Amino acid sequence: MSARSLELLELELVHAPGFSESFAIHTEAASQVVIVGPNESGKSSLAAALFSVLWPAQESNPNLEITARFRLGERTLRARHRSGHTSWSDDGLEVQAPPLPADEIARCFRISVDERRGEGADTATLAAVIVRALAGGYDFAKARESLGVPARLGEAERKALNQAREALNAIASDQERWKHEADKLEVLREQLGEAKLLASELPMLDALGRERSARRELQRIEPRLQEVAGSARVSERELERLAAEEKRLEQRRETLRKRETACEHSKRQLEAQAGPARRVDSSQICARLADARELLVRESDQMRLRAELQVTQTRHARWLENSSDRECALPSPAELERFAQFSDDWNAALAQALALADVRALLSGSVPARTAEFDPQSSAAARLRTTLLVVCAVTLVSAIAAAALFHPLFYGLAALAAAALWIGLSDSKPLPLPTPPDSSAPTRALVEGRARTLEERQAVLAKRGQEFKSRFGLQPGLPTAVQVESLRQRANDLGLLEAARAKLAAAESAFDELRDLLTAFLSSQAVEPAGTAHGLIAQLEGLLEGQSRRAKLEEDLQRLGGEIAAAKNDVLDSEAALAKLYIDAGLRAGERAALEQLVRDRAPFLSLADEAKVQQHALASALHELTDWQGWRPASDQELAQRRAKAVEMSALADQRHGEIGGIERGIAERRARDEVENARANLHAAEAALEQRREQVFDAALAQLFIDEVEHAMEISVQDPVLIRAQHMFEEFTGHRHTLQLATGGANGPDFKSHDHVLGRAVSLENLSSGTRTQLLLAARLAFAVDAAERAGVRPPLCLDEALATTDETRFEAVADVVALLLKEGWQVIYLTSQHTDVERWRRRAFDTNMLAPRVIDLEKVRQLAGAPASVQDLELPAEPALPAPLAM
Amino acid sequence: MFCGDVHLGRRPSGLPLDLKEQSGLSARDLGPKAALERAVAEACRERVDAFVFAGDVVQQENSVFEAFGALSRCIEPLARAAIRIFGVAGNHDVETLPRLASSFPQFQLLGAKGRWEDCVLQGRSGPRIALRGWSFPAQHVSESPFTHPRPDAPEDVCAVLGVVHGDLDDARSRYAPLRRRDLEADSIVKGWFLGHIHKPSLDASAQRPIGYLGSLSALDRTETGRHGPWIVAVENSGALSIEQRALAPLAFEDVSFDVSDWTDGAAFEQALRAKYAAVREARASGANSARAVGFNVSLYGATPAFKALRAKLAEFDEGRLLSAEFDGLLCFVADIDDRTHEPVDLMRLALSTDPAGLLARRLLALQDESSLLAQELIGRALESIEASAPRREFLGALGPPLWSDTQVRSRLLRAGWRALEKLEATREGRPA
Repeated sequence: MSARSLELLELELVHAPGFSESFAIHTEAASQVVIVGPNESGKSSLAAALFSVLWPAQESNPNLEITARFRLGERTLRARHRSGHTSWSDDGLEVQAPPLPADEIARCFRISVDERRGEGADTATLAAVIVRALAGGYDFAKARESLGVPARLGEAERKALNQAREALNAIASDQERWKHEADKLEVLREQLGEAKLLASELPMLDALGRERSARRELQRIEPRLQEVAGSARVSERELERLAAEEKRLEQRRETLRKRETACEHSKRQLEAQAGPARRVDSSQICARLADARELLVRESDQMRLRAELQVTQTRHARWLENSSDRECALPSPAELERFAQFSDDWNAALAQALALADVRALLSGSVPARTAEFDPQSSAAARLRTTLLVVCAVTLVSAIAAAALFHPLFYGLAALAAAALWIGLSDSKPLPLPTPPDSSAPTRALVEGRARTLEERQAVLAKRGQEFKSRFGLQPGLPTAVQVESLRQRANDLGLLEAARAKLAAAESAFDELRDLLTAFLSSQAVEPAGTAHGLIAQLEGLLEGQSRRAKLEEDLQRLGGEIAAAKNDVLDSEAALAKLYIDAGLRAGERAALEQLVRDRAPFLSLADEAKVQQHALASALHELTDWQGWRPASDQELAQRRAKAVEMSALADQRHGEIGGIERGIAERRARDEVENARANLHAAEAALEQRREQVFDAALAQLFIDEVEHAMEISVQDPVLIRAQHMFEEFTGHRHTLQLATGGANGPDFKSHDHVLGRAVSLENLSSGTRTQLLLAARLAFAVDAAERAGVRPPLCLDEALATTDETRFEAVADVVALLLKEGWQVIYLTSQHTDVERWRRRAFDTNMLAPRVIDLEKVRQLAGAPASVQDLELPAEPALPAPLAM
Repeated sequence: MFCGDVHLGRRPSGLPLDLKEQSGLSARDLGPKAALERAVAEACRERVDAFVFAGDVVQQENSVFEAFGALSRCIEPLARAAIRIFGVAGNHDVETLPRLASSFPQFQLLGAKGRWEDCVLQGRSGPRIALRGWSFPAQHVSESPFTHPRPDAPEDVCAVLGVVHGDLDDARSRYAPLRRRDLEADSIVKGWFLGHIHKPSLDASAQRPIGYLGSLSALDRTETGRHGPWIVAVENSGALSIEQRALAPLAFEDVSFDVSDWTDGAAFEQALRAKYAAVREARASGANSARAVGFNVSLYGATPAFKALRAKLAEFDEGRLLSAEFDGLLCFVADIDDRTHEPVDLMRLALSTDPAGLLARRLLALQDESSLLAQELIGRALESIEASAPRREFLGALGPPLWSDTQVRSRLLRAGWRALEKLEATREGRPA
């Protein structure tokens, strides 16, 4: 469907800034209108007014009041623009605005003088708008920009990588150097081995040198040494020794004399002190002295035994006095033992009788009897008590006797013993009561049977008791046990008396025997024996002392004899030493002058001898060292020196190589222990990773932008046919096919137009085109886009060329005019505004040449009659451009 | 025990910048030396008969001194435990291993000077086997090691195990190209244990395994999966039983999250924590013994919470690495590949002829393997990358980008979504 043209019929500026009066133009429905007028006559204001009416959102000025009349097909529409708003009416009825192209495309329908010059800031904006519109409202440039990466992204990472690489290279160089050093090790070790081998000869060579030197020195010393060889037999101190020996000899002789004198004196003393006593062994005297002391002990024993005998005899005599009226003999110990047995039997029978009596009494209901007719105690306790009583009695007697003999304190002990005896004798114990039995007949019979048996046994025992009393002469009325114990005591005392007598006799015999022995010994030593043991002891001690003094004198004599012998030996030694001195010196005894000469020659001899010794030692040492040396022998000292110099050199070389090897091994060990390569490598790897990450960002951005490019390219392909091709066609027509229009979308400043100059063979940017060509390019682009937009919108608004062809040459003007003619033929209304009347003529001529209708010319000077000219251009200031809405949002 | 590429002297990358502060660990604790020490300790504990290196034991740059010293110290315990040590030289240790062999009598270099060599090994309680090996004679070897003659099979051995360092099925490689059929053709060899490629590919269950042992420990975030030495037991019948010990102190894992159900940015952190917990449980169960695990996170899908998620992901760019430390195990995010986008109906959008529609058509085309448009796009993308690569900042510093078509397609998809996002933002009248 073809679009309809919206033709301007009338335009009146009712009120406009800068114009004092309203004025109007009438096109009379002409397709082409040329409005001519001088500068500031209101041409641009008319154009602005027209666009304000058509696109009030784009060209809004609240101070403007405009009315206009249009023809749209068969309809005549009135438009009134006031307060920035345009209202439309058709035959007095308000109607919708015609479907004009979108606001942002409005400028495509007007080419102003500024754009023609290419100085308009919005040529690029226009291009962007065109591009964006072509892109369906998307902004590829912005999308591309948001996906992009900074221009120098990765520069810092690259720098860090370079640094890490340099660090690693430095370490690697160091390691490479040490690797080379390590490679040298084998050679160095070989050299070290060879040098050590040669250097090892050095000690042998030194030994060879010392051997040769020692031999030479010995050859020099030995003849001189022979000359003073006699001095070898003496020493430097020979004369001193001679004098010392002589002096010592004299001293020793004096000592000998003194000792011989002392010996004589001691002999005389010994003879004086020895006396008439025979010389006996001191041990014999000591043995006798022990015998004498034993004799003293035996003497004391005799006295003690006599005292004991006297006590026993006294006690026996007293007993004999007390028992002088009795004729019976003392019972023997066996009889006493039998009596003890009888006593036990008696007590047992008595206890049974008592128990039986108690039973019988209980059976008869009476109290049992508690007394006994016979009371010898048979139990162990009774025997212990009896024994204690005996001890107390003996103690009493002994204490009394001791008090009489030794000390009155023993009377106290006697008193204690007597008290104990009294308490023991007065002691008695009650018999225990039996337990009452039952009183049955069998029991009674049993008891009675037992009682009879017991009575029979008691009768036997009573008879036996009478026998004992008779035998022991016991008196009736006294306790049998006490009497028997008294008999036992008396028997003991009699035994003790006999024993004491026997001991005393034995002691006296032994005493006499020992005293006789001592007396005989003293008599043998010409000593009159003393009468007492103490005297004998004193005599024996005197003998012992005499023997001791004698022994000491003899010992002194013996020592003096030894000293005399030693002194004699010393004298002989000194004499021998003196003789040896001369003999050693090769002289006869007494050749003192010759000896002195030898001593004077001693110093030079010793010096030569020492020197010879040193050389001999050196020679021996050298030969020892050379024991295993089977190698080379020098023919001369020079040859030896040369070889030694070589060995020294090799030794130095070995030291040097040893140091080098050590240094390399240390360096290698240090590097093996480090991890600097690992660190540097890790740093490098991290830096590479960081840079790689940046590159990935770049790649990602490139891939994302690739999509934008792809889509944009696809969009270009899809829109080039209707619009750009038309624009290119027009532009090529305008420029006589010298230029082809291009739309650059990927520039840094966004999309823009370019021209490909076929003469120059390259693309030329808008600012580098000539003014005319630039205008033609814009004209072509806008016309093409305007046509397309109008076709799509359905309405073709008037196309306004505001002095667009002022600088265009005739040829190109014709080309433009041809295009305009085509538009006119298609039904477009073209309004050309110019200040040049020549342009009016050009349009008229071209219309004539192309058989077109002459344009309707409106002279503003006439229309306005100059009175209505605007006061100034600034009064017709246009409002600021609003933001462009997206096409799809319309 | 077979040990793949160790690369002593190289430090692992992709670790958090504040590793020490977070966990007290250093890069050294997670590096090849620590891994080798673990392997050696395991070998001593298991009382293996032999410890076999498959080349690239040391990093070439510092093989001269540092790595050599470290290697000597590491394998001393093996010698003390009377464990025999074998190795073949790889392209990185052409110089080091021969020197080690000459200065360390317990170490035996197999196949020195590029000549195949067999070495018979009597197990302590097991059968006699032979190790067949070949060592790099120079840093670059463009011909297959199998062009050199191999020795006859040793007698009285129940199995021959092969170890070699090289590029499998890459005929143009300068690192000893190996053809699988050559390996298979050497019929007396019961299994081939290869070095060079760091991703393990040995199939332990195969009757006649042929594959890479992989690096002993992950060296960068691309070396995902289990890493560690392999214990190969040989039965009297010659049958092999193979087990990998995941002793690497550092591991990386790829993890993908579909963000379609996410309603806010916190969902990302929750998903991450769940992954961390899974790793921790695996460690507790003894499945691995890594001290640090890094995750290569890939996010894909469309979510209404796109902007909130973007803000959360920006934290990663700001260096907050979303790490967590559990009882000696550090979990961290090594990388995030963000392929998320706003919920857009591409099919509907592609019906439009405006730029967004045209872009949507291209995104759809990229999702179609057979699309000619996609192929064109990939071609142009490669041109664009080649044009961008020689920027002054990168020229001479980085090697040329070697991307496969699949990688380019993937990158293009991500870039396309980003371009669509940015383009839509420029559209007139688009709601903010």
